[in-house]
Amino acid sequence: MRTVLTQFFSVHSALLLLKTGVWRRRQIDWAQEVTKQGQLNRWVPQIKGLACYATLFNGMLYLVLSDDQIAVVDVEGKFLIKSTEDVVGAAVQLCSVTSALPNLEPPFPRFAISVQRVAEHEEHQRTSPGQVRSAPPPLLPLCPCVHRLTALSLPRRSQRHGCPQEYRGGCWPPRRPLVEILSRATVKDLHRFKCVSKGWRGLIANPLHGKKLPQTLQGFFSSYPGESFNHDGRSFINLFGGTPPPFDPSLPFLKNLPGIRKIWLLGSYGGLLLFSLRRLGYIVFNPATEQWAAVPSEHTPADKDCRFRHAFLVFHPAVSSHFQLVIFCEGQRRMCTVHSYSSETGVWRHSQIDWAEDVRRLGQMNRWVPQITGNDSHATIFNGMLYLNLSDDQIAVVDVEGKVQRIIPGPPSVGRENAQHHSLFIGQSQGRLHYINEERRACDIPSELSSRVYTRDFDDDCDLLSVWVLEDYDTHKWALKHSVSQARLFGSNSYKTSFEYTVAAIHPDSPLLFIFLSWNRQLISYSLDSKDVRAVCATQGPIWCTPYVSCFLDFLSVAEHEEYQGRRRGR
Amino acid sequence: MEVDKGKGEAEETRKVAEADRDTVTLKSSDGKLFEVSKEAAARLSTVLAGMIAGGSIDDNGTDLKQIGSEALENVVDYCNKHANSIPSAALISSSISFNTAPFKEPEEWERKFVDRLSHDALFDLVEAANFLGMERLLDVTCHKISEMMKGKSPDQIREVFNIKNDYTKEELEEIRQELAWAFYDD
Repeated sequence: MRTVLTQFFSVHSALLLLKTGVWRRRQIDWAQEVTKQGQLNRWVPQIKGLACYATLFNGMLYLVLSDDQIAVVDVEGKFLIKSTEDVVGAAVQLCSVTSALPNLEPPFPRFAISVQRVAEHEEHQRTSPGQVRSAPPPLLPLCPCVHRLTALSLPRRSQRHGCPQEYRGGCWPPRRPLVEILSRATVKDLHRFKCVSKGWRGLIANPLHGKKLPQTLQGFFSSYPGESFNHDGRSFINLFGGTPPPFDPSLPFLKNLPGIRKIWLLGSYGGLLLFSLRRLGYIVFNPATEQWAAVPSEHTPADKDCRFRHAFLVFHPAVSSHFQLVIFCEGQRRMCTVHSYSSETGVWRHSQIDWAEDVRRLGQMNRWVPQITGNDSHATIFNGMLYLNLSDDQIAVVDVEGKVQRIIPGPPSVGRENAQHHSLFIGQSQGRLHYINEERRACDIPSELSSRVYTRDFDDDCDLLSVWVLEDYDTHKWALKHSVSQARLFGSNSYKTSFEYTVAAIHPDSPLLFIFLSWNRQLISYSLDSKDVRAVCATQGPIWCTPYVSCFLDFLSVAEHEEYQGRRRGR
Repeated sequence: MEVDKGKGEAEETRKVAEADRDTVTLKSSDGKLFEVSKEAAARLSTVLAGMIAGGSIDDNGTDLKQIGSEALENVVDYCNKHANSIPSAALISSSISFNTAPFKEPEEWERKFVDRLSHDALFDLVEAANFLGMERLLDVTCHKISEMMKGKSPDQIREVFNIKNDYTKEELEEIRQELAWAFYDD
């Protein structure tokens, strides 16, 4: 029982557990509450015992009462809202009536258990044979969505051959197998299937199935450079306008961190946001599950002459439920200190990179010793390794321990003469490493490449933005995927320097670029397939766009890990 | 008192006799009877395992009202022919990792088993496997269906599953705009 509660807490209300670590009891007098906030019918209602009658929604428990009213209870057992409607098929209007409840009994754990069972509803049905589907539950779990809470009625199992048309149209495939089937689809197929019907779209977008279904780029967190993240009015650029993001974009959870005034967003990796608390350390936070962990600061005396830091969070739930935090501190003397933290061990390890030596050993030493740049667009995580663009356009492949494994020369220029080109972006899309560079006045383009170069029909149209794909990791072979002229992309004749725009992201599952234009503060997208330029959104002020791909899986940090191990031993 | 005790003993013997039988009889919605090895049923289906353990197996045919005879025949076929090569359901569930258990690719015979089925039979089998809590069969059938769906357009999916398009033209256009990236070719 303790496990159930702590699991619930660690996902949804870790603060509460950390603060108290004790059970709390509160009593709900249904007669009184229903009279006060709802409608008292002939009898005093109670909560229904079946898991399908309760759900979590925006951090609150929604419990269906025996008279088909819905009680909304917070995790401390406080009664906040109660609203009534005919439950089946109706959208429930939420009204906020607040009321605190004193005293004891029935014990609060009861709610915690029912919540856990809702979250695990489907797993639960798999594993407890005795109760499975002997009587199909009359209600599906209430579907959490941000704007509206809907209750659905489960269609009655009809005789298949009696009315095949209606049966197929209405409720085939049954919900759980459909999730199983869709969980094997590719991301693109999955999202295309949203066009099949409203029911499919709702199911695919439903965060309840987020653990099973593959996730993709949800949108961007926008922020001013250097600005604290937990102030009001934070905006999230949602790429799925039709369905709300699976979390409250203002991240209310962060405002409640005890004793912390300011935090800074460093990046978003595999669904986890990495925040810096400056000298205090880091916070790893998953907005979709509200799970978080604090990581202590890594500072050592060697960091004194650190010019800048570059932090990465490596989290790949398919490989490991643990995350790793890797911080590069670029020092004055061409040395780079690498601090690496594993959530499995809970300790920092420190190592150093001597760029001069590593570049000589693995790459090509040009006139000067290269360094990493502090720019987010110039680094990415790919197959569990860090890819860092060095200042001389070579790419260092570094493992999570801070050891340089390989140095890959960057792609060449498109034009035949080795024109001035420099890198803009490195990132992962459709399972391959992509590299984007910019080239001014490209001329004499070889014929085998010219079919991939897209310009307007003007002669002076030769400032190019080129997308390269690493075709062969071993031989370091780059292939030109696409090249587009600035004029075609930005619609203007004047040359834009790389300070005037940023490649914010490449879509992880589609040939689509996101570019932020500083002069009109606009985020645009460019399709390498259709060559369409579209405005994604206009923003206020100078912003950074941090791409976010949601993840509904839990990570393990030291505390949770020990508990999990304990639970396994206990079995 | 004496009588009661005798009755209890009789009950006991009957139970033992029941436990000794190594097959269970299943009855489809249209009343047809199928025999399946008890061991296989218990290993492959969490529901049947629960029923066998709970003693709610009926000698004259356990009623499975949700499953038609064709689907049940496939289920029994799957159990009887191939039970030996499958790890038990209990084993699978205890080895589930912290997040999700990886799916093991269907084996050759499993592939053949689902390949010979018509669409309708396959869909029925998915439902039966879901109802009986047969994880592996559900995995294999779902895998087959997802292969059928690979790269299909929404129109084709609607046709295969016979689903009605409940979007208006405008709604569909709007959602197509939002999901334009999913329609781009590589």
